[in-house]
Amino acid sequence: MPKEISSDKKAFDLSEEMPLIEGLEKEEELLLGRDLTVSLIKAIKADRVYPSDNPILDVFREQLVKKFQFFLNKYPSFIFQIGEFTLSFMEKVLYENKDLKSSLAFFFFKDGVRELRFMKGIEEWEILEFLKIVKKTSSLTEMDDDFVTLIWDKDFNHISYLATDEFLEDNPITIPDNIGRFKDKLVGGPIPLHNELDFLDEEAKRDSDLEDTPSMMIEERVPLLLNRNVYMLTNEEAERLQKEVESESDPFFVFSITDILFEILSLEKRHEPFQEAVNLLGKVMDALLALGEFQKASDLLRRVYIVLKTYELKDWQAKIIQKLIHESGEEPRIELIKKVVEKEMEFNSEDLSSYLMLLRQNAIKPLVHLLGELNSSKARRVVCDTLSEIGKNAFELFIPYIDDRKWYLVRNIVYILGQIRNEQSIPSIQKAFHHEDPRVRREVVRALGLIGGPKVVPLLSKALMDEDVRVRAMAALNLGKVGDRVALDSLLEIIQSKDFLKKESSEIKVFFEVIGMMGFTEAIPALKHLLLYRSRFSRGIAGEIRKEAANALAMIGTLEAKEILIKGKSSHEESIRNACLQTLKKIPSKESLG
Amino acid sequence: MIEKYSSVDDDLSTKIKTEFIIRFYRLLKGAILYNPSNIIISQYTQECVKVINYIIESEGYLFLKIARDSLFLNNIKVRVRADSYPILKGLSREMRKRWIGEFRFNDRVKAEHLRDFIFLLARLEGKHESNYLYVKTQLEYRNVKYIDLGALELFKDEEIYFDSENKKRYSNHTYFNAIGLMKEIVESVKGQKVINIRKAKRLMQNAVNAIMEDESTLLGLASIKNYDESTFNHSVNVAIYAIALGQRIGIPKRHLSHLGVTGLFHDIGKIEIPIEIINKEGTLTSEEWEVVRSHPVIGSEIVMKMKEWGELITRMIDGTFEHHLKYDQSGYPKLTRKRKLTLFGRIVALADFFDACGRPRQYSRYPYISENILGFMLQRSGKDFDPALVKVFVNMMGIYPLGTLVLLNTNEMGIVIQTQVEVEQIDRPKVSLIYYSEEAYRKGEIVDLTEKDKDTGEFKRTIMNSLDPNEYNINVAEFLI
Repeated sequence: MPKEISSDKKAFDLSEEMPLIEGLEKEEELLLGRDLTVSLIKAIKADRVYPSDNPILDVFREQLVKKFQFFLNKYPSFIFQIGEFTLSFMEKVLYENKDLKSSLAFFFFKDGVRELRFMKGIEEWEILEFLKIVKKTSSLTEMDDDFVTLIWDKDFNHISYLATDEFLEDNPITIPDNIGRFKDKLVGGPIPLHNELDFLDEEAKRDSDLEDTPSMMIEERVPLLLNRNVYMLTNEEAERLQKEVESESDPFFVFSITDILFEILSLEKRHEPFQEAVNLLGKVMDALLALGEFQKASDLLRRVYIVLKTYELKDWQAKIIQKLIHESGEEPRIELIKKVVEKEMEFNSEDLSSYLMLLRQNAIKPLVHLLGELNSSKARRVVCDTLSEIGKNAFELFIPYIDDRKWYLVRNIVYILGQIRNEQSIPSIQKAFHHEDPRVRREVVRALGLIGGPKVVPLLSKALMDEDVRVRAMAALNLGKVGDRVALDSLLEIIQSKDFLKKESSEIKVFFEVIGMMGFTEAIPALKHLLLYRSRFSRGIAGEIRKEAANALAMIGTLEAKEILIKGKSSHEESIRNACLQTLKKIPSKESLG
Repeated sequence: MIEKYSSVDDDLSTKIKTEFIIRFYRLLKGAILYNPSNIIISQYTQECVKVINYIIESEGYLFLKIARDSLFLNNIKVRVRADSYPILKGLSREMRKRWIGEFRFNDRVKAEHLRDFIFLLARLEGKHESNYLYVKTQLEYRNVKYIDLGALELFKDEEIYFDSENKKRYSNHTYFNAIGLMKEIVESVKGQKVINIRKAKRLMQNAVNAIMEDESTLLGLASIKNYDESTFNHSVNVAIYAIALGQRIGIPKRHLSHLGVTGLFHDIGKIEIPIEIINKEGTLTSEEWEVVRSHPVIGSEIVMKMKEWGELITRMIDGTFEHHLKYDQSGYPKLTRKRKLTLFGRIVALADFFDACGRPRQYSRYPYISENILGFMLQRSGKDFDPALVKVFVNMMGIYPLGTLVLLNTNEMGIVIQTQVEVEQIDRPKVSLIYYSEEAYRKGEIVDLTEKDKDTGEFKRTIMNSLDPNEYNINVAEFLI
C-alpha cells in the first residue's frame, strides 16, 4: 500500500526558488525553458519526498517527459548552466537556492557539473534514468561515486554534461607543461630486475633461461613481427573475444570472484585478510540465495566443506570456515530462501534440496520456522525431507514444535519424526495423537508405522477407533506394516465387532487386506467364521464381508486357508459360493487345486 | 532526423550491416586516393550498392549516424568486434573529420549517385560545420533527392577533443593527475584511510573518453616510464594500455572505466613489500621472492576492503589477483584449481608485462625496445598470453609502437607519434621528425608515412628500421608530452 500523502506534500511551492525575471514572458523559449525547469525540479523533489511506490511520482514523471518532448520538438536542445546556487537558461537565472542541503543547483555543482544538455530525440527512459541517477546520488558517500560517475556510466545518447574535476584535487598536481619541468620529475637510474619484471623471472626459474629471455628482446628485430599473418585475428578468435566481452555484461559474472576467494583461502595465513575473504564469500552466498541460484549456492558451500576437509588449516582458520558453514543455515540466509520460494513458484526443488542438505543441525530451528511460514507445498516438501535428513541425530530439536498452533506445522514435524524413525520420539508424537485435525492424526499414525516396533502397536490399535475413517484405515495399514502378532488381535477384534458392519466398504476392505497381508495363520479361524458361518448380516453386507474374508484367506495362502475356500465354493449359500469362486479364480489354477 | 536509438543489434542482419560499413569505408578511402573514373572505384561502388540496396529492400531505408563514440545503423548500435574495430573507428574518424554526423538513403541507390555522393564526401575540407549543407546542395543540383545528410552533433563533453592542443592538454591532465592519484591512494592505504574510488573512477572515465576519441595521445604518454615514482607511473601506463586494448575488443564504455581502475590498482599489493626488497640490488633470496610473489594476493585483499562487492570490485580483484598468472595458468599465485583466467586478468597481465619490459632495469642497462617486446609476446602467446589479445595488442601498438625511434629511407630520424587504425597501414605510422641542433635532438615536422608522392604514386617515406634511443641518448617521452 502506498503511504498516504499528507496534504502539505501534495504540491510544491517553488515560488521562493524561482525568481521572476522581467520580460521573461515575452520570450517563448525562455518561458518554455522555465516551465521545463519547474517540472524537472518538481520531479526531482518528488523523488526525494515520496516513497518509490507512490503513484504520484508517475504523475510528476509523465509531466516532465511531456514537457521535455514539447520543448525539444520546438528547439534542438535544452541546456542549463549550473552555478553554485543557480540554474540558468539562456543566461537568465531560472532557479536559485542557497540552502546547501536542498539546493538542486548546489547538488550538481558540488560534483563539478557546470552544464547539462538535453537534446532532441530524448527518450522517456533517458529522462527516467536521469531522475534515478539524481536520486541515487543523494544517498552516496563521496568516496564511492557521484553524479558525474553515474551519468557517465549510463552513456546517454541525448543527455550530456560538462564537468570539472578540479574540485577533486585536494593536493593539486603540477602538470609538466614544458620539457624542463618534465625532465625535473624524471627519476634516474635503472630499477632492480625483479621489480615489475618478476613475470619473466618466474619463467626463467622454470626454464633456467634467464639469460635467453631478455636477450631475445634486445636482438635487432624479432622476425615474427615481419610476418603479418602472425598478428591477423582469425574469425574464431574475434568471435571468442566477442563472447567473452558479452559474458562480462552478464550480471552473473560477479560470481566469478568465488574462484579467487577460494584461492586466497588456500594462500592466506594472516587472520584479518583470511576473515575478509570469508566474509566476502558469505556475501556471495547471500547474493546467490537471494537470486534463487540454489545450485550455485550449494556448489559454493560444498567447496567450503572441501576447504575445511582438505586444506591445511590452522585452528583459527578452521573456526572461521566452520562459522561460515554454520551461518549458511542461520535465520538470515533461510529468510532469503523463503523470499525466493514464495515469489517464484517455479524454483527448482532439486537445487534447493542440494543446498539445504548441506546444512547442519543449527539450521533446524530456522528451517522449522520457515516451514511454519511457507505457502508453497513444493517448498514445504523439500524442507521436510531436508529436515528429516539433517535432523537424523537430533529429533529432540523438533519436539518443541509438536504443540504448535499451526496444524500443518505439527503435521510436518510428525512427518519428519516419522522419517527419522527414532523410538524415543514416540512419547512426543503421542502428544499429537489426539490432535483436533484428522490430517495430523493420520500423519501420527503413519509416523508410528514408520518407527515400528512393539511400542507403537498399542497406539496404532487405539487409532483403529479414531473417529476419522482415514485415520482408522491408516492405522490398520500401519499395524499391518508393523506385523506384530498383538496387532493382529486388535484388527481381528475390530472386524468381529458389531460396529464393524457399519463401516464404509473401503474401510472394511482395508482391514481385511491388512490381515491377509500380515499372513498370520492365527487369523484363519476368525476369517473362516466370517466367510462361512455368520449369517446375521443383511444380505448385502454379508456378501461384502465374505468376499473380503475370502480375499484375506487367499492372501494368507496356506493349505488350510485354501481348503476353506474350496469348501466354500460348494456352499448352498450363494454369497459364500460367489465369494469363494471369485477369489479362487484369481489364484493360479495349480495352486487353487491345492 | 534520428528518432530512436536502440541497444546493440543481435539479429541476423548484423553481418550485412557490418558488411555495409566495411564496403562504404573502403569506397570512401578509395575516393580519397583515386579518381572517379578509376576501375577500383567502379568495383567498390558496385559492391557497396549491392549491400545498400539489400538493406533498403529489407528495411525500407538506410540511416547511419555517429553518436558519441558509436555508430548507429538504422538506429541500432553497431557492435564493435576486435576484427571490425579498425573499420568502425576509421569510418567514424573520416566522417567526424568532415563534420558529417549522419546520412540516409531513402530509396534504392544508383551506382552513379553513390559515386557522386562519396566523392563529394571525400573531397570535403575538414571541420566545416556547414559541410553537410554543401553536399546537400550539390546532390539537389544533381537531382538526387533520396540521399540526405546532417551535421555532426557534438556532445558538450566531446568538444574538447576537436582542438588538438586541447586534446593534448586534456590527456596530459588526465595522465599526470592519475600518477598523482596513485600517490594519494598508496598513502591512504598505508595510513589505513578510506580510498577515494570516486576520484579514480572519474579519472579513468576521462581516460576512456580520451582513448575512445583518439588513443594515440594517451598511449604516447604511456611510453613515459620513469616519471616521479616509477611504480605509480607504471600503474597509470597499465591502466592506459588496458583501456586501449579493451576498447579494441569491444568492451563497453562503462566496463572500460572499470578496466582502467583495475589497471591503476593492479600492483597495490606491493605497498606491503618491504622497501629493502623492492630496492634490493642483486638477486633476491627465495624468501624474498616469496614476499614479492605475495603481492597479487595482498593487492586483492586491499581491494576487497575498498568498496562494497559489486561489478567494479570483482573486476579489480580479477585483475589484481591474476596479473602475474599466465595464459596456461602457470605463474603466481599458484592455483589450487584449474580454471580459465578472467578477461580482465588476462588484459591487465598483458599490459603489465609490456610496460614492465619497457622500463630500464639493472639486468640490462637499457629498456627493451617495444617492437622486440611485442615480438617476444607473440612468440609466447598461447603459453604466457592470450593469443587473440596479443594480436589485438600488436595491431594497436603497431609494428613500430608509439615512441619508437625510427630511421626512414630518406635518412631522416623520427619518433612514432601516432599509429594507423588500419592493419594494412600498420608499418606506416605518423612520425615526428627529429633533428640535431645545438647539442640536442629537437622536434621537427610531423609526417604521415601513408602519404604518397602525387607524381610517382610511391610512398614519400618508409621506415627502414628502428633504432635504440639509448644509443642516441634520446628520451622519447620528451617528444610525446
